[in-house]
This record gives sequence, structure tokens and C-alpha cells, in this order.
Amino acid sequence: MKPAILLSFALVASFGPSRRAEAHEPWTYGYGSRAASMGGAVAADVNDFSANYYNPAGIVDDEGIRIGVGYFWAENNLRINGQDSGVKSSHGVTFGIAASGKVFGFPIGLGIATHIPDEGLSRLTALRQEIPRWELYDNRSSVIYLAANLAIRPWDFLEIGGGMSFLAATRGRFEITGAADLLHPYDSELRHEVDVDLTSVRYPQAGVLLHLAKAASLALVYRGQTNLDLQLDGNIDATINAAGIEVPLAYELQARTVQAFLPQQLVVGTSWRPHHSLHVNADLTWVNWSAYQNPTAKTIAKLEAEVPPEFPVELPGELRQTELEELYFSDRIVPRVGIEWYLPGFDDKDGAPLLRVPVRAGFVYEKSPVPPQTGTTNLVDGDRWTGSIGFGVEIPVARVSLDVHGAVSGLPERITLKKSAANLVGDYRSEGEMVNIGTTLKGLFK
Amino acid sequence: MKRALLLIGLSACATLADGTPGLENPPGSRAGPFRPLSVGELGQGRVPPNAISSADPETFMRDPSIVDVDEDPATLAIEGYFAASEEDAEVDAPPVKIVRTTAVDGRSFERTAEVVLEITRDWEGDRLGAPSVVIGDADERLLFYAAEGGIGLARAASPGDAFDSAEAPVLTRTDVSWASRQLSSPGAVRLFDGSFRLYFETEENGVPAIGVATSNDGVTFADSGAPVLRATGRDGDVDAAYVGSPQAVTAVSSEGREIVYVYFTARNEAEKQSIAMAARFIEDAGEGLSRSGSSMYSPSGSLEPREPCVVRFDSFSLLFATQRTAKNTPDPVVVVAVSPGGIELPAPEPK
Repeated sequence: MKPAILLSFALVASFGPSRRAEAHEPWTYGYGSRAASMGGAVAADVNDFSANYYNPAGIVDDEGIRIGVGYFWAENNLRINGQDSGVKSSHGVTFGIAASGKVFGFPIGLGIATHIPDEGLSRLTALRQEIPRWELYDNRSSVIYLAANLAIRPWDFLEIGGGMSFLAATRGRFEITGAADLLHPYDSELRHEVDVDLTSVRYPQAGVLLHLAKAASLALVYRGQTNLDLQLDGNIDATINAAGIEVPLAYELQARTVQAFLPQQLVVGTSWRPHHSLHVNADLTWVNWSAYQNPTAKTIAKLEAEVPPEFPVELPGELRQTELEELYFSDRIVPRVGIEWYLPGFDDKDGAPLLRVPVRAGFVYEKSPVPPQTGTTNLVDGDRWTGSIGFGVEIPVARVSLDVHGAVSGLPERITLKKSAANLVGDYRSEGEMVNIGTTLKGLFK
Repeated sequence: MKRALLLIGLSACATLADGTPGLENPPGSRAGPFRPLSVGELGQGRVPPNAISSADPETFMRDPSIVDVDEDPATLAIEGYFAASEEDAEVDAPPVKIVRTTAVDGRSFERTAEVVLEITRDWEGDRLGAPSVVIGDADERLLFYAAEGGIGLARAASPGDAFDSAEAPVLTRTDVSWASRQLSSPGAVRLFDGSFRLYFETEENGVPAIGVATSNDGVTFADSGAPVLRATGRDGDVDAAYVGSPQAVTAVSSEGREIVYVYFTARNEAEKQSIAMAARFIEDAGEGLSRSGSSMYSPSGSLEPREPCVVRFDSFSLLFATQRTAKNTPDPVVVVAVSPGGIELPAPEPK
């Protein structure tokens, strides 16, 4: 990527609203309209580009090059004590390819998929642990997601796939040197240098798709754990001129934090097709939230200055290290169900399909892994249910299709009562809704 | 991956400049921390954050006690009671009278003050200060104050009436079995059930401590039997070396739990002085307090804030405290600070 483009993205990133990121959109809102409208219950029933996320084995489940491009918009209306928490909407572009064919007669598939938030590539904020935030939903939009996979079909009934997913990470440094004149700021001579790397973190994913019979499939999918770390180092080495009194000053800062965390997951999925026009899917996902780490920044800061005694300034002492609270998140099992039914009546007089129109619905229940926040931390969360619907229009002759989805999530009211009366945040109740709409255009090239 | 230059939006590390990290409309108890008022937030031509300064008519007005006139947090009118010194007194001379002034906007005090209490009793000795005023039945004002012989009570039937002090103190060292020093700096509060709590400063075996006495009528008090706060002696604690000058205020959490907040002067092992807070749910048994553990108000420099008083309104709270005018100027001023820090205060009156 050209530096200028990267710089543009980065500036958008840095001046955007300050929020945290805990994962990425595909996980929260679904990847591709077909899967999103079926509650994400597609681990055993996926062979388009979204297989790159839901089950890499599905890449080789169909032949040809399948391309998909889509867009989604999720609006978050999350509230605390009845007031909007201002959690940003989440939106971006999805794009992916699943290509499969035969190499020396052996079925093999390749896939690549990405989600690019359209509000900036990376937006990073480190919060103190007591500051309230919707821990799982507060701005996931700030992370790029990229996945690359390889799949094989050793036997007709078995497909195996795997690959790596990538998330953007940041490491930065700033330095200020020179002289500052407090009475005549324009006479100051300060040199600023800010240097940031956009690097990546990787985690593995793998999937198996087992076709038990023509009418049923089983799937097993694993996604690895990853941490997205933020590192920031800063130095100020300057002389301050205050009414003729020169004060040499040195300031050193080191901040380390887990900016985002993606727990490892294991999905068991089934798909039952009692009729060629009907798919009934169910997935169970184990999510290892108990491995979640306290994302509070670990900061070391040191200020040294030779302040003349007549100068009415008192230097702060060395910053005390924050004592990070144990979070005690719980693992959770997420059930998902989805259904897809192709409407009849779109055939020509010879019985060949002119159009295929699938209608879809799904449901997900995600129990909150966050324990009651009775102490210092305020990681706001709630159980979440999501109902989704969607439909598609497939034109077999042209080998293109358009899918549309809409989903509504509810986070029922959760009351937080603090153990200590001296807690500065105090009691609160949280609740909210999310609305997610999107569309995906898919094409098949054989 | 390629490298680029940019500014990074790390906006809320503990070491970086204050901003508004986290959510919009975050929940908060309005119990702190407090930030000093800034330009445009204080009327009467006063220079923020100084709500009272040497420009006021009485000498060295300090140690505020603030009363919400109508006890309605939706309205801002307050009465302020302050200790004051003799005219032309030295800065370290003890206070000898209590004066009263008012503010219609909750913080910008009139530039006139009336004397409401002076030394009239033998037990008061040559000092009378640290006022703490609560509103009793039928709008009665109960003024608790520190004097040489202990903690006294003066009463005024209505806000405009003169205060009449009791012949004897309401609480002295002899009433508190564990106290090893005379009681001072009373902080009175009336709970929702009509009973009273009288917090006070003393020592236990030479260790600075805060105790509390209880009363159903606001006149007869009984000590709770043990300190509710002591200097901890622990490195790193804001109140490791000293606790004192308590003032209390009641509140109700957003879930309806009744709380009493006790603000007090704290000093750490490095002699850094700040205002700290402890609290308890009123429904809990006993008088024990939970310490917040962090400073609620901690100005830079050696300004040594003390004698805090907090008044709570609907959407914000104001902290008044005495502190030095400047690091090298011991003259006292009364500063005013607000919590939450990000709030936009109503316009001051008059400007």
C-alpha cells in the first residue's frame, strides 16, 4: 500500500471517535448476506466466498470461481440508564473469492476474503479499567479482517480446509525535542516525530465438512485465539523557557495494552435438506471467553525536570502502575439456527428455472460472558438475541445472484449494583438494540 | 507492513491529557473526581476557581459549609457558612466567628456576608470555626462548629434568624472513649429517615482518625464506638498519613439505594494533601465506610486543600474546599470544583 494512502487511512483512524475494538464485524454481524440472514448457522452449508470465514472446507464444495462483494450497515442503539451510549454504527465492504478445480484430478480450492471498514482501517484507544464501555460492541469497526484459505476434497464425502486470518495491529512511537517558550509560543522551536507501524496479527482456522448423505452434512470448524496489541512509546526532551527561566524537561512514556481480543472458537454444525428446496441448519459454537485478558493499558511514565525553587510548579511523582482487576469472563456456548427455502413458481414452461428465490431466516442467542460488574471495572454487556431474515434472487442463466438481509438484536436490561458505595460510577442499568442490514452480489464463473 | 507517519489517537491513557474517553452519557455517581471551575463558570466577577478570596469583606473566610436552601436538587440557590478571623488577624490566627452568604447559582457567592455566630460561651475558648450546617424540621438551621471545648451546636429557627449556641458542647473528647485528642471539624448530615450523623476529626492512639456520632433529634449524640476512618499508614494510599475535616452528604443511586458520602482531607506519606472520599450504603448495618482509594480533588502544587463540602444537584455536584492561594502564599481561598468534569454548567448568575 502506498504510504500516502496509508497515511490517509491512518489520519482518518486517528481522528475518528475514540472507541475500542474487541473483535471484527464478521463475528458480530455476519459475513455475507446469505449467512447473516440465517443467523450464521452455515458451517455445514456454505460454499460461496463466505466459506472463508464460516468453514474453509466449503471452498472446495462447489466448482468454479465464486466471487462475492457486499456492504452492510449496523446501527447500535445501546443505552445506560436510559441514555444513548453513543456506540458508533458499524459498516463496511466485504469481498471474497472461493475458487476450486482439479489439479492432477485432485479437487482443490483456494479462497480469500476481507472485510474493510469504511471509516478507517485502525482506530485505537486505551481506556482506564473503570471507564464504562460496551466491552463487546464498542466499535468493532476499527479492524481490518483478511482471511486466506486452502481446501481439498480427498473423497466425495469429505472436505477439509484451513488457513490464516489476519487483523491489523499498531505499534507507535513519538518524540518531541527542542525548546518551548511559554510567553512567546510562536518563538518555540520544537521538532516532532511520530512513527507508527501497521503490522498484522494472525490466527489459524480450519474446518471439516462431512456429507453424511445427500440430505445431510456435518461440520467442525476451529478458529484460533489472537490478541491485537497496542504499543506506544513516547519521549519528550525539551527546554521550557518561562519568563527567562529555562527548565530542562524529560518525559518518557511506555504504554502497552491488548487492544482487541478474539477468543478461540469451536463450531459444530449440521445441515439437513429434507427437500431440494429446503435447508435447515443448526450450529453450536464454543467460545473461549474465559481466556479474555484485561485490556487496560499498562503504562510507565516518568517526568524529570530541574524546576527552580521560585517556580510555582510541583512535579507529579512517578505514575503508579494500575492494579489490573481479574475479569473472570465465562466461556459460552452459542446456538444458531437457520433455514433457507427456495420459493416455487419461477420456472419456465419446460421446468427450467428462470429465477431462484430463496427466503431465509435465522436466530442466535449469545449469553454474555461478562460477569456482573460489581467492582472497579465497568465492562458493560448483556445477553444478546438476534433474529434475522433475508432473501435472494438468483439468475441461473447469468450465474449471478443478489442477497439481502436484515437482522435485529436485542440486549435485555441488565442491572449492575456496585458492592462499594464509594464506587464513582455507581449503579446502572444497561440495555439496547442493534439493527443490521446488508446486501451481497455474487457471481459464478466456470 | 509498510510504515507511515501519523498521529495516534490514544486518548485516554492515565498519563495523557484528559478528554472524554469511553461512552457518551456514561453512568456516574457525581461523587467525584472534581475539576476546578474555569473561566466563564463563576459569576460575581470572581476569578475561578476561587469562590471566596481575600477580596471578600470578612477576614480569611474559609472552611465552607454549603446548604441547599430548599433541599431541592433541581434548584441551585445555596447558603454558604464560613469560618472567619478577626479583622487584621494574622493568617495563622484561629477563626472566631461564622459568617453567612448566599449564591443563587450554586457557586457565585454574594460579596457581602453577615456574621451569624461569635464566641459567647466559656467552653468555646478563643476559637470558633469549622461550621457544618444541616436543615432540621420546619426549616430550622442547625449549625455545628468546632471550639476549644469540643463540638458545639447553634440553632436558628429559620434561615434569616440569628443563631443561638447551646450552653455546653454536644460532643467532646470525653464522650468518645477511643479518642486521644479533642474533637474538631464536625461534619453533620441528616439521613433520609430524619436521624443525624455527626462526623468529626480526632486521633486514636495518636493516629489521625474520623469518628461518627448518631442522634435522632440532632441535639443528643452518641459515639458509634470506633473510628470509621483512620490514616492507613500504607505506602501509596492517599490517606496514609492523615485523615480529617470530614463533611457528609446523602445521595440516592440510580437504582434507589441510599448512600452517605463522607469527604475528608487526606495526606499521603509524601505529605501530598488532597480531598478524598469514603461512603456507605445506609441500608448496611453499622457505620463503617468504604474508602474510594483515590483523590476526589487534588490540585497541582502545594495548595493543601482541606475542609471539603459537597452539595449535590440534579446533574452535577459541586465541591467547595479551603486551600492556599498559591504555593508560597498561605492566605486561604475557598475553591469550587465540579463533578462530572465534562459537564457544561448553567450560566453563572450574576456574571
